[in-house]
Amino acid sequence: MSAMANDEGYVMADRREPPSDAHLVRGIAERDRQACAELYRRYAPWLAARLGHRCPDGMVIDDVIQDVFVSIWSRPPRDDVDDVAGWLWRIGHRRLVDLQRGAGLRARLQRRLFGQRLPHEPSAEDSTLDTLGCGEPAQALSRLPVDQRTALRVTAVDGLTMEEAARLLGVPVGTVKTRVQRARRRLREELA
Amino acid sequence: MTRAGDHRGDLRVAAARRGDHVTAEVLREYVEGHLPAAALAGVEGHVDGCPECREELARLSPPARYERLWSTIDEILDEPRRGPAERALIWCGVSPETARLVAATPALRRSWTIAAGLVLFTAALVARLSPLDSPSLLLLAISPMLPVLGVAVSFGRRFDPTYEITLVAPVHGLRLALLRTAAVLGVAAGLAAAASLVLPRSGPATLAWLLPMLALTLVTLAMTARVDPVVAAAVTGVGWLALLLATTHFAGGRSLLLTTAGQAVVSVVAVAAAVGLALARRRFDQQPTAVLTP
Amino acid sequence: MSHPAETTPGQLVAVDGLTLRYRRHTALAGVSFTAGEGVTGLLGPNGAGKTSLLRILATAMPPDSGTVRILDTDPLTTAGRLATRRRMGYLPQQPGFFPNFTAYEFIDYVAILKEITDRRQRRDETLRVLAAVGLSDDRGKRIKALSGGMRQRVALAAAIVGDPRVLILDEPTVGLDPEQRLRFRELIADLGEGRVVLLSTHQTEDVSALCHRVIVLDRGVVRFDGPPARLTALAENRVWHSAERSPQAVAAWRTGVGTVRNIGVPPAAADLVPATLEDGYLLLLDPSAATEVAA
Repeated sequence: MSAMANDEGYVMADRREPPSDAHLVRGIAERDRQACAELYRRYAPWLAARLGHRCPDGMVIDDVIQDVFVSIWSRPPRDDVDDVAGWLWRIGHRRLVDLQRGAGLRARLQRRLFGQRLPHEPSAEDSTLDTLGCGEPAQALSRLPVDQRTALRVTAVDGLTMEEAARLLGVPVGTVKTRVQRARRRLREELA
Repeated sequence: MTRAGDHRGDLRVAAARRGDHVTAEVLREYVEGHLPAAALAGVEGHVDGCPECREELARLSPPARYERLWSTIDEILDEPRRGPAERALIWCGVSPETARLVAATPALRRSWTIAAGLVLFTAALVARLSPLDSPSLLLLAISPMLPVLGVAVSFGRRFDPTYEITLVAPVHGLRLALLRTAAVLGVAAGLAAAASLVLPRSGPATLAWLLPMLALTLVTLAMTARVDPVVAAAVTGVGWLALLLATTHFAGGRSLLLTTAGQAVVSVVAVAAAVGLALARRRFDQQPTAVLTP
Repeated sequence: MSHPAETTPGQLVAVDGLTLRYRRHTALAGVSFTAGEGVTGLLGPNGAGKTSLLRILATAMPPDSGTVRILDTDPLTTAGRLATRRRMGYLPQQPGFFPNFTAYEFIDYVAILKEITDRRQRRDETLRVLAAVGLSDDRGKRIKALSGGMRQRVALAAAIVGDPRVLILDEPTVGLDPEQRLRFRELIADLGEGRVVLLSTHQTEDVSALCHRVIVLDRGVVRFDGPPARLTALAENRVWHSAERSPQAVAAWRTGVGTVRNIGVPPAAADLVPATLEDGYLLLLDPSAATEVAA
């Protein structure tokens, strides 16, 4: 059977303009499988890449992405989503943290039970990075607006000076300073 | 205008952040996870807000992995949603297909279960609080009728929207009827057992409703082979009422049905109904013409 | 008097001398015909006995007398009934669903009813039939959220689960708007290839669009059995236009453009127009018309 229009006359393949992300999310709320497939096509690789920098295990990433799309299908948002990327990231990141916490918990439990250092247990530095990447501070970090987050990361984590950061980001030094200040203040509030 | 050499990826990232798109080279490194930390924030920050770069990123990602993942997701999304009753059945070892046939029974809908539960508990409470010598009498009178009602609302054109296609399906009519009846009986018996816990201990009499429940249900089911399920339930109900009145002394709180002899007679009725059911099994595969409306 | 129905080569369904009575009403009074591959239409007014006939063929109920043969099996015996049910799909007149089920869940349930116990096989078959009726993208939607046309497509998908050789469709296009009806007819036409499709309707456009063979049933009796062109030919030279209703017309109605279309024996200088299937059908069913019944 050739691609048929549904009864409402809506044929996705024939539309002149590709549907917007918000439109796709609305489609998912209406349980349109094609909309979900298209949203997956647009965002899954990006989500995988972004998560991949916080967790080296590809299989865990696959699980997270699977959970994200199953969850948005089963529990679609009631209101319109403006920032689809941010929304998907929040869900994905939360899930990743849950999975890793679960894994960390299991490892700690195992250590208690067997009283020994497990071969794949991370070193102290790795643990810190891990915490940064997948723990509470990083969660709060991911909730910052993009500009503030980038400014903070580039200066605090990567260790660039204000001038270097300004050049990197293509904005005046004053702007970088303001963004970093705001970011720190917000983190302080969140983590307090 | 950047200092050459000091920060790796400076040039690229600066270009990215200034509104130009990220180059395919950088994107590939991002996808593969090889992007140096200094460049990461900038690239990420840009791609976060750039649909075109995300499209490019999607193009540069290995398709096989994502196709495989999507087909897994697709299957999960398609998977029939199972209610707690169905999941409990599967956990007990029932095959998923049989569990589905049972769970789709209209009578297992919450309304019947809630109504049955309420009726039973009210009856048990009344029995407990009343001055009757044999409080289990009320439970005896009411609980066998509940699965009969359940059977009435499980079958037939009136309550089963899929009646016609179920009738002509290869699945054996009697098998389906028995599965659904077993489910209804199980729930009713469970509720009645819970309600009987509310009663003061009066020995085996608290479970005196069990055999009559089984007998009445089998009789009703056997009758549905020839008559409309609602009619069958009504006849059974009236018959049970008559039997109760004939054998029970309500004021004295005694009933013949509570005696061993009474229970034995009830078992015989149950067996007879089961035999009748077996003999009439072919009738569950076709609609008797007399009942049909043109 | 009735001899057992025989399926000659090419005739996969044969019915002979079927009778059915409800209390005092006779639904079928000796119906006989055969049907082969392709779409055969069962045309007739309400109460003609179409649904009763199809129910008997679908093995939903037994006739009072007569014989049936479907794919070389007698569905009136217990063993034959089971064998026939495994090779047959039925779309009843008012198909029912579990409204909270999604389209996929419902078809999955029907597949279980049709004894597809293997999980993978069942999934493949469910996806196949939903794709065949054009509901792939909507398979996750609850049936109560689907429009009438889509629900009818779900019912059709349920009928074709298991790829049956015989399809029995009872008034499948009723209640659909013209566009939905058009698309539904396309689906049925596709299904007619390599299968016996018995389709009942009281709309002649369905027949002229789909059927290579039409059987007209009226008050339990077969009044016509043959190609639609021959039914149309019954009204050839018997249809004319006039300004007002013609007294000698068997049936007459005002058309959309204002003239009156008359069917019957035309007066001498009548403005004859080409006959349609509907004209032939109306002429056939009129009690006063002296039309030869094509057996």
